[in-house]
Order: sequence, then C-alpha cells, then structure tokens
Amino acid sequence: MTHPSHPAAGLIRPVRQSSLCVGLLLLLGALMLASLNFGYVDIDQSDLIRAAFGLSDPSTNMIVQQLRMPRMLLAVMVGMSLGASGAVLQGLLHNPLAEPGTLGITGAASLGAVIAIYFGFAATTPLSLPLFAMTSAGIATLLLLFVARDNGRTLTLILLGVGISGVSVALTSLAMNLSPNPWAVSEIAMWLLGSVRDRTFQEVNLAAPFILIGLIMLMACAPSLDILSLGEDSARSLGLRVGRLRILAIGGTSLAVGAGVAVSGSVGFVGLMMPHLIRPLVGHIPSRLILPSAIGGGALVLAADIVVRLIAVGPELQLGVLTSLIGTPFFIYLVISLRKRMA
Amino acid sequence: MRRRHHINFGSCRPCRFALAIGMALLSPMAWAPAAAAPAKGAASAHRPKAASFGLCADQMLMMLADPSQIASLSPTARGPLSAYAQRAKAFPINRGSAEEVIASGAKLLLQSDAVSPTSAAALRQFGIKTISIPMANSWPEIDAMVRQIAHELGQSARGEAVIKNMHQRLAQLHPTSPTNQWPSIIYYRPDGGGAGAGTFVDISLKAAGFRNLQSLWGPPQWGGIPAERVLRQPPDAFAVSYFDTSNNGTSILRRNPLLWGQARTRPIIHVPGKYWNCGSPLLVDAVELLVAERRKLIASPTYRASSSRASLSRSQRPSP
Amino acid sequence: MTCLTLTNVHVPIGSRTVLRDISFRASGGEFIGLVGPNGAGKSTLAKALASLLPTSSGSININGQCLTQFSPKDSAKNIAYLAQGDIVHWPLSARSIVALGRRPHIDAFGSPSRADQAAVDRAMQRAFVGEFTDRDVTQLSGGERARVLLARALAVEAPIFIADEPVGALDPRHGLNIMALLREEANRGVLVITVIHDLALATRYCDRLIALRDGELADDGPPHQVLSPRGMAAHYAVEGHHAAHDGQAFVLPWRPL
Repeated sequence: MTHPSHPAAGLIRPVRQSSLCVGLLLLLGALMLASLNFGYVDIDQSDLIRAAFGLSDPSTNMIVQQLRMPRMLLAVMVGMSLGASGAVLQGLLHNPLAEPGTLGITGAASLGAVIAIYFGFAATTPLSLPLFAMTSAGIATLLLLFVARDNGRTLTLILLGVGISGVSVALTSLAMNLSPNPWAVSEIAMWLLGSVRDRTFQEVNLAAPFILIGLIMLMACAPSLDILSLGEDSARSLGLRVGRLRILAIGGTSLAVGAGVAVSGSVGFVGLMMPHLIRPLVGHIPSRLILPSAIGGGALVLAADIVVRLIAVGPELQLGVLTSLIGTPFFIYLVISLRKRMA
Repeated sequence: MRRRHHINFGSCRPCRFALAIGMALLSPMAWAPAAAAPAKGAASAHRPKAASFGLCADQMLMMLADPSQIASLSPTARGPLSAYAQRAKAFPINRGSAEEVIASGAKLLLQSDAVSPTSAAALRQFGIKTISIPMANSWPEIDAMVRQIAHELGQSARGEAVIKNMHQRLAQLHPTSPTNQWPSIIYYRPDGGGAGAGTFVDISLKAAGFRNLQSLWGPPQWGGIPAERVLRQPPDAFAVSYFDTSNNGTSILRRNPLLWGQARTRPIIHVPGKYWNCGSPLLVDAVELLVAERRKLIASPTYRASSSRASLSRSQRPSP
Repeated sequence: MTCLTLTNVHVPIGSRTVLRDISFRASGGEFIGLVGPNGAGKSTLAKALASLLPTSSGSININGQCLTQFSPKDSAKNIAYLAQGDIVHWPLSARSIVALGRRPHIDAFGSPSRADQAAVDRAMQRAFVGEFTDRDVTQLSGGERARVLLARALAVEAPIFIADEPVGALDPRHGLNIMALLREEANRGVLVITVIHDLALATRYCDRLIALRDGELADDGPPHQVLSPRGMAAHYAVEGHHAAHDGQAFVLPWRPL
C-alpha cells in the first residue's frame, strides 16, 4: 500500500480549477508578451508592438514575427506537452516521480530524432523528424506500461526509465559514431541539451499538429485518472476502459513529447515539477491536474527560455540545462520525502 | 571517429608570433586590397555584407572580405585559437543568433564547425544566403574553398591572390631532400587523437618535409596511433598542438609513461593551435614553423646519431 | 427484482482454468457469503461476477441478459464492486472518493447532478463517514478508510453489490459495523455477495453461503448446512465449534483436523 502524498498535503487549500487556470493563463500571457521583448537585438517597446503587426522596418518585423514569435510558441507548446504528459503519467502509474524524462521517454524520442537527423531522413522528408521521435517515444512508453502493469512500484519504474535512457544514450552515441557528418558529435551534444533558439514557423508547423492532438488525447484521459486512483480493479468496476485509457495516455504522451523533442531537443523535469506544484492546489484530484499542469508547464519553459536569453554572457545557455538545474534538486527532494513517508 | 580539430575558445591572447612571422607575407593577401575598399557601410550587391559563425568562417571572412563587408564575427574570432585575434577586435561579435544577423543587415552567412545549425537553417528561410565552409583537407580543396568563398564575397581577385601567394610560399618551403630521408614524425592532440591521411595536418607535415607516420600506418583521419606502435618504431620527433588552449599540450604523452619514455628523449614540436585550426591558406604559417623546427632537428647531434644508426640497421637487414 | 444466474461458468486466468463449472441463481435481497479455503477461487468468482475477468465458457446473466452484452458503463451501473484492500493512490478527500462511485451515472466530462450529490450524501451517511467529508483519506485509520471505500461502492446504488473480503483486515468493531451495513443493503433489496473468511460473521449475517473448493462449487445453501460439522471438515479440514448467542447460531473454527 502506498500513500505518496504531497509534503504540503492538507496545508494548502484547494482552489477552484477554473480560477487556477485563469490565473495561470494570465501568467502565461504575461510571459508570452515579455518573451517577445528579449533577444539578441534591442528593440524598443513601440517598435516591438509595430513589428508584431508587421509595421516596422523589414528586418525588425522579421525578427519579431518570424523568430521571436515561433520561439515563444514552441516554448509554450513544449512546456504544455511536458506538463500535461507528466500529470497523466503520474496519474496513470500512481507514481509521483513519473514524467517523460525520468521514465526515459524523452531520451527515446531524442534517439528517434537523432536517427532522423543524422541519417538524412529529416533533410529529405522533414516530417520524418517528428515521426521518428514520436515512434520511439511510443515504443518506450509501451515498454514502460507493459512492465508497470504487473509491477508499478516507484523504484521499478524509475529504474526501468534509467534503463531506457541508458539504451537511448548508447544508441544515440552509436548513431553519432556512424553518422557521415563530421560535426555530428558536437551538434548532437548541443541539440540533446534542448533549446528553442532560432526556431521558425517551419518547426512550429511541423510540431504543432502533433502536439495539439497529443494534448487533446492527454486531456481526454482526465476523468479516467480519477477512478484509477482506486486501483485498476475498482476503476474497471466503475466502467473504466483500461485499454482505451492506455492508448490515450501512450498516444498522447508519444505525440506531444515526441513532436516537442523533435524540434527542441530534450527539456527535462518540467513534467515532474509542474504537476507537483499544482497538485495541492487542486486537492490532489488527478483529472483537475492536467490542464493547469499544461498551462503551468508552458509558463515554466517560457520563463526558463527568457532567463537563458537574459544571461547575456558567452554562448547562450541551453534551455534544457537550466530546467535540469532547477529540476534535479526538486527530484532529489521528492525522492527523499517519498522515502521518509514509505519508511 | 572523426574529431573536430578546433574546438576550444577562451580568452583572447595577443598573437605576436603570428604578426611577426605572418603579417609581412600576409599583407598582400589580406590587408593591401582592403585599403582600396569602398567606404564603410557601402557593401554593394556584388560585395554583400556577411556575418560568420565559427572560427574557420571568421578567419576566411577576415581574410577575404573588405572590412566594410564584415557584419559580425563569432566570439571565437578573438579567442586564442584565432589567427586574426587582434584584427577581430575591430569588428562586432555575435552570439550566434539569427536575430543579430538579420539586424546587422548581412546578406550572407559563413558558417563552419556547425556551431549553430538551427540558426543557419532559420536564416536560410529568411533569404540570407548561408555558406558552410567546406572541410578542406588537401591543397586543391583549400584552393577550391578559397575560390568559392571569395566568389560569394565578390572578392574573386583577392581570392586568387591569396591562392597564388600560398602556393608561392609553399614552393619556397618545399624540402629538396628525397622523401625517404625526411625525419619521421607523429602528431598527437591533447585528447590522444592524431592526424592521418586525409587531414590538413598531414598535408602541412608533408609540405614541411616530415614523414607523418600516421598517414603511413593509419588510422586515417583524426584517430591516433596506438602507443604499441610508437614503442615498436618510435619517430624522430613528436608534434603536439593546442597547448595554448589545453592545460598541457604534452599531456597525452605524459599521461602514458611508456609514451613519455619515448617522447622525452626526442624533440617535441609545439605547433600553436591557431596555425592549423582548419584547412585554409593559414596552414602555410604552420608549415613555416615546422620547416624551421625541421632544420633545427636535422642539425641536432642526437638526430644525426640516431638516423645514422637507423640507416646502419637498415643496411644490415637482408634485403628482400 | 434482480436475478443473477450463473450457468456452467468457467473462468481462466492465463492458461489455467481457475473456476470450473459454476452454476447458481441468486436474487435481490439475498446476502450471500463466498467461503472456502485460500486459493479456492472466491476472489476470482467475485471478479468474474463484476465482469472484471472474462469467462471461457458458460454464462452469467443478469435479469436474463448476458453480462458480456453489457457495456462497461451499464455493467458498472448494475454491479458495485468493492475491491480487496484499501488502496487509494492519492491523498484525496473522503467525499471526492465517495463521489467516484457516481461516475457510471455521469457523462465522461459531465459534472455530478443534484441527484448524484444526494446519492453521495446517502452513501456517506450509511457508512458513517459523513464526518470525514474533507479529510484526506490517506490520513484516516485503516477502518475509517475501509468505510469510506465502502461508501464509494454504496454510492453506485447498484442492484448487485460484490465485495471482496470487506472485513479482512478490520478490527472486530469495524467488521461488525460493515457486516451490519451490508445486511441492511440486502434488506433493502440489493443482492449482496461477499467473499468472507470470518465464519462467525458469515454464519451470523449471511442468508446463504456458497463454498468453493479447488475452483469448483462444493456446497451452496444456508450457513448451518454449508458450515455443518461435515461441511467444516470437507471445506476447511477443521473442526468447528457450533454455538448460539442471542438466539443466533454461529460457528467458530476450533481445531485443525
């Protein structure tokens, strides 16, 4: 019997889901506006507003409309898919440490993307990039669920995630070794750290449809996750179609995370942090967690992307490095607090 | 596995040596035509304004373009590996983002070392021509590369001058002795890699009159010779590089006591990393330095003793 | 009146047939205890009745309609199932747990109606958990949590109520409370079927016991018949102590045979 509860359970009063979402959306909106402000070229406020509507000089228009906007959108989309899939995976596996990164899904998606990029599929067929990433994310998720079905213990799952990540890293290294591109090593190393820098609408268009479908699938998991907190048998006796839920969760996670990784590399720990921060605010109800976690995830990644642009020294810090720097201590804190509770 | 041959960048260091040796000879290549260049900001359509990402691209841009054509350079241009570190101080530095290139009004982006592939890809979409500096690992490849970049910059005449100058200097430096009398050499980078056939280091060593054992034994490209081979047939000299950006250029030799046993009794030639950070006309500086070192080596008594011993043992061996 | 009919039911788990040839009829208002030694197939039968396990042959009919024809939602509305143990994976409030029992009656993304809220209140009242409304269930005691989960199953308000060892891990007081509660449900016309190991409680509260042995139906009848000295020997290989208190007969397992 496990009762992993948030350390602050009972201390924080739940708030209405709608007001929580509105609050988070306002925060996200403010960050979106703010993110247009920051870049490598100083653009003053009035010029920025004009450029946003294409009324400034051509190069400023281009910078604001075709570089900063897609970058902002990608950060939001990637953050939303990570937040939502973290919330769904935690609910599905009853595991507070579950998230695409710790479970190795991100690593697997990266492997798929690396194969697509460095064997030239992505160059000939751009669509192959998200497709490869999503497929390998799907395989990893299937494997996880296959094992989790019989043994969903926290440790087993995390160790399995470590295993999947390890295999992904090994195969990614192999792909780098075999790649005909001499710069592959440094390119992949940087890309794996995750970034949304200098992305254009080409990348947005490539990822957005899949992320959108993925998010819808993840949202559709919501009602089932609540009854699943009673365990699978009780949930099925309440009419849960387990197979359907699994397809939605696996499909949604693979599409959203895979497509996100395909265009931005791996951005870690967002799916871990956001659901945890939101959970006490929604009374720990799994279904109410998904939407706020998605919005919050978008805000978190966007905020991180603003911070990496604000650190104006040397080459830009990779986005994934920053989220991992924040996320890893969080993860360790969670492991320790869980262990205390289970002891 | 092929390795990047020029990876480090750090704080700027004055390159007096480069100035001392190279400037007099380089000036007709790079600076003299610049004096006749049109006024700043007047880069015309056939001489487009250009930005560069990556050290090799930075150097080629400074070598071939008019100063008024240079929109910005990457931070590595001022780093210790840059042959034009001083000169780069006159130009704006970018952080490798597409925004800066667009805002600078550049119409052309030179990139090397794949530093920002996504940024370059983004710029291509916005109608900014992106040229990747091709990897040049032979003299004809270097000619072709210079020609191409010079053409893109609208500086074909200067490109041809650079190529001509390079070949003239190489011809002057070319050793007269037959190849089998050249001293043998093994090159190591601090990370243990070396340079075999198909590398610009190999062509530089050859141009200076060294027998590069790795190009004879393999592995080709940027792998290194295993220590076993070195113990069996030690070279006349070792060459190391990147001691200017690594803590200790001889570290690979020192890390392995057996290798160090061989290396400490032989000359170790230190080639500054900025001389051969990529296959470009700047390699001539490396060749010049190597030729000077070769002369010193041949003149040394230990070398004459060892080479006479070697020729003695060779003559004693039954010929097939 | 609800009518449940099993005809030659076989239930496999993996490649092994765990239940063989089970047939019986039961109707609303009955309180049936499933008894038998460990591994006899009691929990399997409970799960099969809740359509959580597929049958390989034979049929389970409710009011003449085969269980396999029920949609998951219809079957959920007709059969409430209380699982063994007291697992709740998240620190949810007691009321939100009980409210999950109304899920079969609500559209996927709908919210509970006034009638649903009333049903939740009723179920909480009946299971004496009204006071825990906003309490985190993971902070409750085992007995309190068991009552919350029972309330969750009651909130379905299904004509058939299947419970898998509802008093297995409870202290005597909580055990008695829950059995009384299930008895009351049966009196209300619900068909209650529960897996039970406590023979004293079984003889006292159930109308009818079904004994399983090695996956087969060994006996089916009133408690005094199924748990007669001969039955105790046959089903459990123990000698029972048969007695009565307050005019109610009961049996205690006394010594192994």
